[in-house]
Amino acid sequence: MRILLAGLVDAGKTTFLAALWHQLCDEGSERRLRIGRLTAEDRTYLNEIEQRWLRCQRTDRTPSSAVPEVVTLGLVDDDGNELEIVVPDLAGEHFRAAVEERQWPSELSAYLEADAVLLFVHPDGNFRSATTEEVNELGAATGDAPIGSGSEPPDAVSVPFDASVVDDSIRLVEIIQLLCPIRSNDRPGFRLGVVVSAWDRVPSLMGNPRTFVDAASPLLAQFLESCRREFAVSLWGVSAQGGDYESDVSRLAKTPRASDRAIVVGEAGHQGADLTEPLCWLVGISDQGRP
Amino acid sequence: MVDVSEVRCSEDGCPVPDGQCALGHELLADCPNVEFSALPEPPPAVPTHHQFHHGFALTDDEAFILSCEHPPSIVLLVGLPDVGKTTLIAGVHEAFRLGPLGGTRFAGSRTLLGLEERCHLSRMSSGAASPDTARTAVNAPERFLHVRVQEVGKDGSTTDILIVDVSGEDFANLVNSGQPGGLRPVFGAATDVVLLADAAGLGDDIDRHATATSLRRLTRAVHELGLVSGDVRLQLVTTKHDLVEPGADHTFCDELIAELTEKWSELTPHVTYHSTAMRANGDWRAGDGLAGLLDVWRQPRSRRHHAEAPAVPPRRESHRFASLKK
Repeated sequence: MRILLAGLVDAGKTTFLAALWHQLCDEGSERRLRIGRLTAEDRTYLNEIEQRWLRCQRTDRTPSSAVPEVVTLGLVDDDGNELEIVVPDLAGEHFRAAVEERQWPSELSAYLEADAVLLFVHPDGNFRSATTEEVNELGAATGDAPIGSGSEPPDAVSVPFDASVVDDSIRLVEIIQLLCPIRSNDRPGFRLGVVVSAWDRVPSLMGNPRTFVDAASPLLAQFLESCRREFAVSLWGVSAQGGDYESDVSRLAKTPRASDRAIVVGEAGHQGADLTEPLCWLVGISDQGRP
Repeated sequence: MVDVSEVRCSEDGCPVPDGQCALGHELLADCPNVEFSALPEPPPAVPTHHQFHHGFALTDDEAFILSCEHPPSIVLLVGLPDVGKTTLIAGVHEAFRLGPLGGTRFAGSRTLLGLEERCHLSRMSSGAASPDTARTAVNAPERFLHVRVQEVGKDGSTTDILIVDVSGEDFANLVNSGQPGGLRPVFGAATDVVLLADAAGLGDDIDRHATATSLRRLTRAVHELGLVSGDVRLQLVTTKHDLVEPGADHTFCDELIAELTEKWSELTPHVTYHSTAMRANGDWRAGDGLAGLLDVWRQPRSRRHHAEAPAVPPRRESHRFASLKK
């Protein structure tokens, strides 16, 4: 089963993979999925990113120029059922290029037909480009001069439009449109999981990831709701590291079991630390109740 | 620097290219007898990327292909220059960015970048000193903007809407020449024709007669050329209500809308009236009137004869002007 981890640059894809790998291999912890029989595959990459995660260090940005790391995981669920998932760790640059340059590497074309997509959304993204009118209204409230009232002529040359200026709401909707089936018949059984990463940074009053997306990006929220007609969609709030890389290192390091650092919040707001939950849902082992 | 594959010398006995030039030139390019032939064209490169669709406005052919996949509502915005056709499109997109429009939610777009492009000059990122909308090029081949919408609740059915963004100059040419030119096909394809009238112009003592006359001429041209058939839904839309001067006389606008409603009703029974504003001012909020338009456009083509939005008597809208008088 091919699962595509999608998202813009620094959205948290690699950190999730690092923490997931640790949890899958952590025999003492209770998870919905665990690693099955070890096969003769190279795990150097997974072990390297896991080491950085264990030390509470940022994972290096995945280079877009390098051959993508494709991880194959043989997993076993609670009932002893075995499944194999193939997850490429693609650089956010690939998704940027998909939106801006309308290109996707040919060698990765198989993932345009992935069985499931897990889309990472960083909560600090710029979800809505400010309009000139909004900025002027804000300026009026604070006593600042409106834009264009200075020495420059009112018809000062503006920056021509190109796709690089669009905000994250547009980018994320476009990524979903490019990677997911338009109609349910195109890829039966397809599932889209949306992970709001760095969940520890989201104000607690947001409660659950659905509330966050509704507030941060109404366009994305509407689009996801419309997608539910064609395929299953579920939202998760995830902090794979469990805290801030600067201020929370000491607390994180003192956590008795590293696997327990992670934060996973479902659509209904229930919280746990099991990063395999989104995976279970993606492969159809579990259903996440709608709030 | 020219890539060469072969060097030849026409001088008898000259050892070039294997030896030194018989005439003593150090640089072969300096010798008049030396000829260079260019490298053959390299074979075409194997594409290394999958190419997605461009995301901008669609050409007629692209719109036709999309229409075959999902029969859409095709909305033709009709109006003279600066009446606010492109601003209306940008307004729909900006409104969806804030949330559902009445009972309609955003469900995707094949032309997201095209919609963003039309909003660009109103955004800080454009560097423009004041909000604006880019002018639509005359005879631009890429003129279809796509939005898929979904009814909130009920069965959640989706409708594809193709909005035709035609330059105001094309309609001015229609009025001036009496020739439809390239407009006849888009009128023929349209399920919805939206006639836009500038409320700010109709509310201005100096501009109102000129604005009204232009609208009547445009209406007459469309009528006489037979561009609108009886099964088309027609929406009369007044724009720029947010720019109407406080204290403006609304009677003139109301009477003109009543006159146009009657005139258009001779062609099609499916006439509705909508007043819109794209920016907040006075009693008007940004995006006012758009939800009603979306409700009409969202009706599937096959049901449009039976599922009309009720025609709103223009006079009922007059309170908008009255409120500005206060």
